[in-house]
Amino acid sequence: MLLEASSLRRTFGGLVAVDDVSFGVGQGEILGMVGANGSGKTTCLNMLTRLLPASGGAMRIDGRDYGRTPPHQLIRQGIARTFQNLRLFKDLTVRENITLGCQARHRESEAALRRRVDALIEMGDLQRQQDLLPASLPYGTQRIVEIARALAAEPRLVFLDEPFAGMSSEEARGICDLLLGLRRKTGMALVIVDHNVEVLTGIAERLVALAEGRLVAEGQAAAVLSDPTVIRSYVGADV
Amino acid sequence: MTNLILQQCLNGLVLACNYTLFALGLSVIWGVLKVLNLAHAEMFTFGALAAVFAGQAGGFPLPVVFAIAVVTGGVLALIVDTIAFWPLRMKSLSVEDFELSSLITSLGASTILVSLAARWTNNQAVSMPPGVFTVEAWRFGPLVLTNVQVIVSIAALLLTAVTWWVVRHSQFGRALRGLAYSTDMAKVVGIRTETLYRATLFACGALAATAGLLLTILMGSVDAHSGANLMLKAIAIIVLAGSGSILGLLVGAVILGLGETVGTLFLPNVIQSALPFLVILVVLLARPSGLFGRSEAVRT
Amino acid sequence: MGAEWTATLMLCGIYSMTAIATQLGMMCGAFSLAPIGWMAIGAYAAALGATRWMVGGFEALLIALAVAALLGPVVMLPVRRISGLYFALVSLAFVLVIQSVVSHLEYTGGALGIFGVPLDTDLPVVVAALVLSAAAAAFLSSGRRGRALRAAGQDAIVAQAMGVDVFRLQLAVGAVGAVIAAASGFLYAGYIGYVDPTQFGFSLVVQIIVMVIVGGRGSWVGAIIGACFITMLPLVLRPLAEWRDVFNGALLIAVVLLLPGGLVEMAKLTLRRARPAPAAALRPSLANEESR
Repeated sequence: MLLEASSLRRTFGGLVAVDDVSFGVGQGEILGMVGANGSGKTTCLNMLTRLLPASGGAMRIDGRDYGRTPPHQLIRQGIARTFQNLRLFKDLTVRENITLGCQARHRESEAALRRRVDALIEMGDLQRQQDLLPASLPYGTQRIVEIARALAAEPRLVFLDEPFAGMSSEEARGICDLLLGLRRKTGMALVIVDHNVEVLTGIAERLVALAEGRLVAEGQAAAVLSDPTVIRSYVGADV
Repeated sequence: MTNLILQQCLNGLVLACNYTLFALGLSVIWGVLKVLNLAHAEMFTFGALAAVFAGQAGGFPLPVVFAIAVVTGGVLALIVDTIAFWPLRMKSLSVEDFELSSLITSLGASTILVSLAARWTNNQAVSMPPGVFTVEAWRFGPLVLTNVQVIVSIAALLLTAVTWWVVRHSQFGRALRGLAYSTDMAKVVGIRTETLYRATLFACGALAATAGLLLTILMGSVDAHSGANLMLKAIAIIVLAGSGSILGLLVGAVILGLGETVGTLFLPNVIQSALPFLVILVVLLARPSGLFGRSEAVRT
Repeated sequence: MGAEWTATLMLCGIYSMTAIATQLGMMCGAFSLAPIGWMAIGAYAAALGATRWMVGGFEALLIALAVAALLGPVVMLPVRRISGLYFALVSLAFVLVIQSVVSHLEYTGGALGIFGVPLDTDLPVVVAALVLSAAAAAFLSSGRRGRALRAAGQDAIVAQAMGVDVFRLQLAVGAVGAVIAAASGFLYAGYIGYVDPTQFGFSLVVQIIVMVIVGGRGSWVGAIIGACFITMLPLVLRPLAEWRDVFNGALLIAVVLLLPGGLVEMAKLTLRRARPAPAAALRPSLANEESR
């Protein structure tokens, strides 16, 4: 196992947001995480990326516990992420945003960084926009920039928080192709949280489902999505 | 010595009532408008100055002087809003940007007003002329209490109670709390947000002016910097209280008021004058959400 | 050059340094007013060195800078737990505690302050100090460090996820800012000849904020432009000296409302208009038109 989360727990005051959640992610695996709003998906991600201290439980990468590692050191362990609401640095250009994604992991000269970023810009087809500020780009392009920034460090594991939100199925599939292509090349693992179950089942090899902070189902997409608890908690989802 | 301590406790509590009244407006504005309004102090100063000058002109009974102070404070608050906050509200900035920008514009407004007040008073302290209000002292055993102290305390407590009731239980208060939670949400449910903002500012300006008038009667005089000096204490009280807790404001004000009066007996001068700031430092470090505030769940 | 101009230029340089120190904090997401407190400490070190410690100016300066370098990060520590306006309040509390301590200690001359600081500050020294400060600021805000710094200032959480050690960066800025500000205070005392508590109170805080905001948030160049602009203006427009506070307040509001990027942004725009814009336009408004 690349990543192991065991018995994760998080409380906010009296509210239990995540309770006893355990799952693993294999080398190069794509894991989908589903659940209604408020089911604790983002809280899980925040704990696993150390932006939010866990109230209990353990997290390991390559069998080593990283539950006390400060968040800024995770990138050096090969863990990267994107955010639910686009969180690009608004006063940095597209190129600077992406450079920031890799400069901490790859401590090399500016020229070497530039070559690295050039490749990512080409991959995302961002050549024309590279010196613009993010706010001037269409939403879908900003998503791509954010993903490129997360991938810039050549991570082994990437958490993507709702990467398809606000996208058409077609755009979402475009991103999926991009991600699959990159996985083939680098062998990285992905954990994708999203509401778009249709797109998610297309890319994820395995699903975990959360409801009210607990893990209620885990396994093949079809099995998870036909689980009665998942259906009950996921009213109105296109299952 | 015991008597002295008791007397100072009494004086400290009277001060605390006034501090609460002043900090209350500041706290409500911060809660509803998300503005740390540094110009709040000037509603205090101008309210007090208007009252003093009205008193000096002579012929006005106390209620009229009081009304002049209240209207001055309220109207001034609206003027400051129009110049410094309203344009920012129209800009739809992010929360952090708005907080910082409005802090800076309120600092600008405050700078202008302090300087104007200093010119208006020729940089002198001005005092209420005799005749507007007659001071009487009552003795209770060893303790002395003046009618001013009693009136000031009762008025301050009463106004605080009324404000608390309005915010918690009235129609207006419900709308206000909705607005504090989310401007957009409030608009959707049909709250006229701008009207509400202005009403809040007017009321808070009037409260500050009242505090100014009361404290001037209590202390005997006021100058251009009275409000600004009080401001730092009020900020310390709000920080101590945590957001949205009126009980916290009272407790914070009592701690500061007692520290200032009883403290003179025990604390060396150096610590004495630094007390409000030390309070800010210690509380923010130990409990960032204040003594009575709830820690909020932060979403990343 | 007249004596008055020399004096004004020295003041410009001194305030520029304090403004740079403050600006650096704002750039990395720690809106700290502590530099004004460090300026006071530097100034008092100059005065105490000459009147109490009986050491040369250079030794007193070294003591002040060493204290600032060691304790500057300590004053920055609270930023780990509290941020935004609350942190600004804590740093303001630091400034006011310093002020109230020096005004109540007999050792520092109490409310009267200390007279008889040797007038050692001259223009070349100020220029040299300013160049050094600007170089330090430029070093911190360029290349890899600059990106990390600006990222930390814009969104500390995401910056951490990108591997930026935001807290360490802020501590470093705390040290550099404190050293620059203490040096400026030292020069100030040697320029004016005496120190007293009223020099380093809330009005100086306001003054420095005006300089930083009017010059332009987010760059040390803006800090220098703002400091020079605000210092020189009363000299150029005489009537302003009398209405200084009113003018400063109005300017503060006007800049925040009408020119959020400050003078430095205006200068950039003017330059860009003068030269035809390069293909890659940085302004969002222009970029929008381009992408349509």
